[in-house]
Amino acid sequence: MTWTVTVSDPLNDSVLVTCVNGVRADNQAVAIRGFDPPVIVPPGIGKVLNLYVRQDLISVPPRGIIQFSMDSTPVFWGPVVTCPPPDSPGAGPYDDDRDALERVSVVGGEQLLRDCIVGPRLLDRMAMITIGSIDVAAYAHELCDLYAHPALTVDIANFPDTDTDIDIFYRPEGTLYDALQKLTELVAGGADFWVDATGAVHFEAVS
Amino acid sequence: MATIPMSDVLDWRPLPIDAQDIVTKVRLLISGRSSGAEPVLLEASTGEMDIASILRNKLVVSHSFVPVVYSYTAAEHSTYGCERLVDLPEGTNPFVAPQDLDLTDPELSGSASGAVEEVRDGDPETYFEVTCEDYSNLLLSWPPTEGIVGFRAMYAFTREDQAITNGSWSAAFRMLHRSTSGLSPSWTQVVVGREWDIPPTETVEDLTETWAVANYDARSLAVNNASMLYRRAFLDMVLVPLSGANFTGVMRLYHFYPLVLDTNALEEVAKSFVRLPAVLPRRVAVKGYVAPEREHTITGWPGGDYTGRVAQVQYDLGRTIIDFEQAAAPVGLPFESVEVERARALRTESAISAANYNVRIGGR
Repeated sequence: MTWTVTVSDPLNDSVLVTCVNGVRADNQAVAIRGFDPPVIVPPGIGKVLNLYVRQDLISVPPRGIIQFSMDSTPVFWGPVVTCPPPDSPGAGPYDDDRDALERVSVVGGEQLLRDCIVGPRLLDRMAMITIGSIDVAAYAHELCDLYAHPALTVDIANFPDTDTDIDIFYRPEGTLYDALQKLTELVAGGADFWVDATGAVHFEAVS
Repeated sequence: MATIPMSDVLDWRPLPIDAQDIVTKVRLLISGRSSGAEPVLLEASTGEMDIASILRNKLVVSHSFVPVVYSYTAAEHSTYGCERLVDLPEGTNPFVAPQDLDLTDPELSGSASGAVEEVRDGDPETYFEVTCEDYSNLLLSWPPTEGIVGFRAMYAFTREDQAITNGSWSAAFRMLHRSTSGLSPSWTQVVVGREWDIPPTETVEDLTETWAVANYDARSLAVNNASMLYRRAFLDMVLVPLSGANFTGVMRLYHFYPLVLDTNALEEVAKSFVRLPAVLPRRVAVKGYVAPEREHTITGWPGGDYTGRVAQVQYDLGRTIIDFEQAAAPVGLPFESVEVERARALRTESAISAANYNVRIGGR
């Protein structure tokens, strides 16, 4: 039973540290004391993951991307929203507020969808026919492809057809989260969007 | 700002860094939709201008307004990549004053003449005057430029039709936003034309003011149409009698100028919305009472004098507890109470923003 934590920079360009069972893979430093079981809501929306670390040994940057896996199965992915200050040597049992000085809190990747703004991309019939589909999922994919945060992965395979067609979608200057929310409301029978445990955006009809 | 000697410091501890609410790119919303005076004519169309400057394949389309937005990117955006839309603070004038516009004076058509520069000198006492019966038609046009997002006019306009007139005359402010695939025909184009009526005033002493915000159609932007490379906006005023009828009257134009975004002023406003995570937030307990000022310096701090921006102050018996750079939980409460409050506030703000979308940007 192994658990692996991979820490990357906020844009998910490069891996900074990898820890297996809390031990750094490169210099064997025991950097992570433990974790609280991560909370996920179906169909994959990450809520929170807490790690208890020695920040001076691991240096998790604010908004760094954490990939958490158990036995090689990805379980949680998201940005760090609370981390100890850079030189914190963790906390001892008699430190009050020790929790705040060793806890790294990670929220689900959906936070990153709230941090990008949709531009004035006009998706009318003409534009979508050029793209090849007027299914709602095609609109969602086009907007994610253009405007998603650089840390997220956008793959057309994660946007399967919803069997609902629409003619136009133009929602400039809203967050990408709100735009996807609006698109789910247009699907007959409902749809969900989420960021999975590897950082890929999904948009699927409720089946 | 208070200076605190290190000997007064009772204890200090580092604080956890809160990185939930980060903004490194600010999109300052000036106008989400057309505003101001309603145009009497609005037409958006696509078409092709052939080599003989004849318009072909004109297709009228429903206008998709491009919101007027000023975008500012902080250097840290290449680290965090977090973007936010914010409203322009009320009372801020986002437009360049007419006398500071980087445009030459507007031009008059034909044989007309007059002190045209008065319409853009920013002086509400001076005006450009024309007596309508002297001309069969009159055009006052600003030089075309890309960044026009509206106009403002202040005028007095009396007119009397002659007894026998077989038609009406037109007096209008006109704006055209055009994007093209080339600089000279032939080209494909996307055009939005607007026309605003100039209602007459009672006398030539009665002044009235009108303004409007207008912008390109979304089809003019490269993201929607990769061939649209060049954009230009045109603004003019026209007085044209139709059916050969003459009309008398006087037009006094005190102000008539395009609205162009003042990027220098807007950059300062946008910078104030950038939010970065604290670097080394600390909680320092100091002996005695220290006033809640914005900044304090602690002299004799190990490693050099420490100057920090004060986020929060708490007072206990005989001591002051100062949070530098970032506010943490009140003494006695765990940091989670701050995180819960922060998450709730962001959720509420996000819900309000989504609910207000139609008001700010307009229903689609």
